[in-house]
Amino acid sequence: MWLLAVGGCVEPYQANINSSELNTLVVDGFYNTTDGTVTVNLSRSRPIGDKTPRPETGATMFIEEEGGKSIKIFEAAAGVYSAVGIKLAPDKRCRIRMVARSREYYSDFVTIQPTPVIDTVMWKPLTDGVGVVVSTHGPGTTGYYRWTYEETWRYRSYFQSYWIFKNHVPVYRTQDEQIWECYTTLPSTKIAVASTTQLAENRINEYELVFIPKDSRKISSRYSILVRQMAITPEAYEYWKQLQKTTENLGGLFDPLPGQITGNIHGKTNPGEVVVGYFSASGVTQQRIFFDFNDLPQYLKSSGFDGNCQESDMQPLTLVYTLEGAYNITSAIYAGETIVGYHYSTFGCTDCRLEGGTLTKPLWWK
Amino acid sequence: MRSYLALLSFVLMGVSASGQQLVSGSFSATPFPEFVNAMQASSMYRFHYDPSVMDTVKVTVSGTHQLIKYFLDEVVTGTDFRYTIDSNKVYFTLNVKIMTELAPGIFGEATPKDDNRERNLFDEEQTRRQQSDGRIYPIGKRTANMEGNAAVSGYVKDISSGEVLVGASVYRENPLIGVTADQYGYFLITLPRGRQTLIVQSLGMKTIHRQVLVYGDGRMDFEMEQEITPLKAVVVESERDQRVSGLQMGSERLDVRSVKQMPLALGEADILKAVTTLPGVQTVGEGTVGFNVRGGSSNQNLILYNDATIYNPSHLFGFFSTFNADVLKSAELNKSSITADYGGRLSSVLDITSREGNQKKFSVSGGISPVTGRLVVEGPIVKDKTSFLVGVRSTYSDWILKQLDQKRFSNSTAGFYDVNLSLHHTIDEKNSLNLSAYMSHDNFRLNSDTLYNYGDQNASLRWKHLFNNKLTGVLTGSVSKYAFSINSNSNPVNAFNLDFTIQQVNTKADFSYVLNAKHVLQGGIGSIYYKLRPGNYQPAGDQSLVVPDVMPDEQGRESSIYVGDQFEINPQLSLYAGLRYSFYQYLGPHDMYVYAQGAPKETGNIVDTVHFNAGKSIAHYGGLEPRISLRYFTSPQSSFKLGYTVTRQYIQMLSNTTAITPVDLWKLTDTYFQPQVGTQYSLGYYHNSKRKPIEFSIEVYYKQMKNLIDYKNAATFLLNRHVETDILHANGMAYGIELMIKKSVGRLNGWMNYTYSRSLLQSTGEYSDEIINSGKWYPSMFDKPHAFNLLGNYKFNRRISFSTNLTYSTGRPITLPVGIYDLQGSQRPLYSERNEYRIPDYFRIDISFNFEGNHKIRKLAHGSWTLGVYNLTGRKNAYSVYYTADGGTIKGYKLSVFAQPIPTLTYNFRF
Repeated sequence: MWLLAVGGCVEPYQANINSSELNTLVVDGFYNTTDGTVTVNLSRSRPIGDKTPRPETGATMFIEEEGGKSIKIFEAAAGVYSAVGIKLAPDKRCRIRMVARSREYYSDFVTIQPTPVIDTVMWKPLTDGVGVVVSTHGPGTTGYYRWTYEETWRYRSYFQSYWIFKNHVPVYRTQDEQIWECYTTLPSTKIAVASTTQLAENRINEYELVFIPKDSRKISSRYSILVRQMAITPEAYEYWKQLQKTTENLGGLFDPLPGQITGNIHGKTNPGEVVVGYFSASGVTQQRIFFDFNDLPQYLKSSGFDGNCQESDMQPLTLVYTLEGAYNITSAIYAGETIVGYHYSTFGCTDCRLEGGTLTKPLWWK
Repeated sequence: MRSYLALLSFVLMGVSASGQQLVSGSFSATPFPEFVNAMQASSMYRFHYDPSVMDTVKVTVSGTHQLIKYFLDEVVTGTDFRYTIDSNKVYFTLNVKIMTELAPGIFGEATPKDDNRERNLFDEEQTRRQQSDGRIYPIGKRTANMEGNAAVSGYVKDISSGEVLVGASVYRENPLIGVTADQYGYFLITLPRGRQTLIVQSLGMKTIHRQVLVYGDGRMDFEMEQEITPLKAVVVESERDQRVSGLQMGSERLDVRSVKQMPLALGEADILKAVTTLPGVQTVGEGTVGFNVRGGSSNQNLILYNDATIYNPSHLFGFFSTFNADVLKSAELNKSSITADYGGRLSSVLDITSREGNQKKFSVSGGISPVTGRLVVEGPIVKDKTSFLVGVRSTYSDWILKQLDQKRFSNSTAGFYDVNLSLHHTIDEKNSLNLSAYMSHDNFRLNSDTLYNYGDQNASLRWKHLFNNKLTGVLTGSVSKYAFSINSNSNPVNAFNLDFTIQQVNTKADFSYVLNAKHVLQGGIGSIYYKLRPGNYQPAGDQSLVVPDVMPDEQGRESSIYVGDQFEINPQLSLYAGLRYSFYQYLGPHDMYVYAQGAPKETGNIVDTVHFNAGKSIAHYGGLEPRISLRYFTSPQSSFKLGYTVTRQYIQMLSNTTAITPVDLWKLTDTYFQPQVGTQYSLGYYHNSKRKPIEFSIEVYYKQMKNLIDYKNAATFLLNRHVETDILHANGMAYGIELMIKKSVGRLNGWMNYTYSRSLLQSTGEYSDEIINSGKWYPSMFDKPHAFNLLGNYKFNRRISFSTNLTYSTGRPITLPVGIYDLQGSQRPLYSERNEYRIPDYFRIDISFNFEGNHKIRKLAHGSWTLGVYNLTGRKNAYSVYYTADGGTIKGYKLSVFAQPIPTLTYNFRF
């Protein structure tokens, strides 16, 4: 009698926070030694709930070799400072230095990390979904790695709409007018770092980057992921790990107490000023994989639809005009060779774009 | 009240022709207690009755110059009540009439003892009456010199089980002289020679009044009866409490029988949950056993189980404590005036004592709740000499996990068990031995492939020796071990086992000497040897590439010596002065890092590593710990107390999580970790109502703490060989005021308390990451200014009772985001200063109904049912509030643990 389903819960909550205009400078900088690009995103913090990013424009930015040259980096877009063709001595440390709103800031000098190639990126069937795992190995016994990734997936609306209204009459859709198959691309939003400090070899075995629940639309048709790997310094590892702990993994019973993680950027004009963010420099190696819905084991095959899609019939033909602007026609109803009416369904069940994707197939898609 | 005042003038006393007293009075629907007061005021008769049964009786009778029988007949007519008059005593009973003719030979015994006769109600009544009869018990060698004082000692025991009664009060009145029985049930009281009445009281037991004639030093044992018999004689006006008369301040004793009445979570009586309803005691979150006393962290509590240290008192993430209530006798919490015999922790001492087993007969008891099954077997090995007790408790289902957030814990399993064993042996009148062994174990797998195991194990042996009537000694040896392990094998290449162990060996000798009527001296020495294995990381399985990583062992020795004097300056004023000296050494073998002078302690600043050989003292600390308390009676019912306590602590837990986790590390004080030092000043006023059994107390305290541990942001401790780089030494300050009202007897009983308290920290290190909140004082994790607790029991009748527990407290401090920024494709929170915000206030009501089986004493098995509802209002109390990035956007969440009412049904039995 006590086996009642009772218990704990997690619910959205808005604390009464005195969210203020702190205007903390945020620096996200990376020197990619593989292609010689430097990209520094400069922005300012904003109050909670404010959705508009605040790029920091008009700053002057340099990348500097320790005891060596200083190269100016220009603002390519609002708050994005980037340069190409940068070649710094790989055995020297480098840093970025900037002046924003008349205050000078600089990063610690960081060593340039050579990045080993990715051994494999694989997808793995798990009990209730699919995991994407990465494996790599490097020289020596200790390695620190960070990955970013970009997921792209093809998905299809529940029904294919073969007809489109033109001049208030249904006509057969051309190839360009199809709205059935879409693609969505999302960059990683999660921090993925790992180290081999506790292993005998510098080897990462099947580190799980992404978990896709089995009913996710991501794996309802075809899925691809591009994984980029960067070797990082122990200090960078510590920074990303802490940032991950205090900004992504909260919500357990034994959580660490959150606190501000600052990184390796410092104020020169005002040494006490809080600056968040990190600058690092390394090579980048990458690998892309694809897999298909049909590759999945049977127990993971799920359309990802919630089962609310239905087709209805509209007859006689004189009433078909009422569908325009309200529904999409999926297919025609024939009596012999003659169309006597149409099947139709909601936009949501026929137009894949309403789920957020685009109809454009990426050039690299295969 | 009106009728009571009116009738007083009508009550007259006379004497009948036969020599019996005659009474006059007029009563109209007068409550029975008022009737009794009037009768007692106007006659020599004394009434004995059970207030919880008789309080509701209304009396209507009037008469002039009548025998008392005339009034009493009117009272009982048409009811199930019976009365018995024995000389000038009147007993009221339900259904049963007491026989006043005594069995021959009863008075021939020198001391009342259970003589193995078959016991029945008559016998029990008789024993009680024998203990409060007109007989005078001589103590000591008969002498004509009745000047001066004498020392009287003995044991206070439960007559039915032979178990000693810890904390029983033994005292006389006018002038008041009182002592409390120690954890062996032993007391020693200095009395003026001559005739007097000794009163013995213990919670849940019938009060004993015994006439003694003290000739000289001697022995007097008391055997007390439980209040489970159908009716009892409670002499309300003499109920006297330790809180007023005791010398110690901030001391609370919890008897396990009263704990069992409280409505508690998940169908288990839990002594630690009961402790947290006391003023000045708080928890950080729901479902945590770790508790905070007067603004101290949870590892600053010394938790002793039969004198052996317990490191982790929590089962199942803290939803249960590791103490099986069925084997426990009592728990005593000292939060301000800690006597000099205790040391090693800053905030409090929680001394938990188990029962030593029934010395008279075998018995089995147990219970079953939705989560656990319990069984206790106890009995005599040699009757009245050697007894044993074995208790086992274990989970039998994952029920509790299913109650939590279902998705979050769907792949989780958890289980625990604990085992208790005690042996008690009375060698002779002067020597007794107690052996105790204890073990608790937990395992859980939380929605992942990582398995956690942890548990405490300890054993203690205590030998108590009475050198003579005035000098007693206790020799104690104990070993304690706490270990946890983490195993992961989901990824064969990374599969590992990680173990942590802390062990300690304690030896101590404590002596108590009654110098004279005014001085009781205490003294002792002790030593604790600690050994830690702070981390042993090993590969698991053939494919694992994990490199074994064994953190070097740590050793330390804490030695102490103390003296104390309990000095009764005059009947009003008493003083306890104690002095403890503790000395700590951090011992080799160990490699110590040396950090560059004038640079922050960071791994980059390690300039050297120094090796110390085995047994070599690497660092040592020591200091005096004065303990002073003063009590002054302002009236027989009220007292003032003052306290000054210094404590030092040489071992600490490293935890930067919200609650104590089972995998938090302990760390010994070393070159870089300084010992924590606490100084507490306290002042209290205590008052017992003269007529009603109501106690009131108010205590204020101010505490300063040095070298507290706080953490740099993002500190990590597991397999960290240079933990000193992640910690801060903070100053602490705590102050508060605690108000408590308690009604301990009667149909309605319970307590209510309100506490206002603060607990603050300050970190002003040399380097920027050692300065928290720009060096300002900031609230500690457990700073909850307002706290209110209400605990009430109401007896409907002898078989059904109702209990409720109401708790309110300010939400604990928390660090929350005050802004957001974008980094790496996601919003990230920008955090406030440390602990600048609070989670919502906490409020909860629990209720429970107890249904007792019938009270036939000779029944084979006694059963009872408890139906409880935890969190009756279903309030979603916040365990934590956090902001986390989900799909690139920062969202705020509130996590509640028990967010709905949780009903439980428990069956308990005893036979």
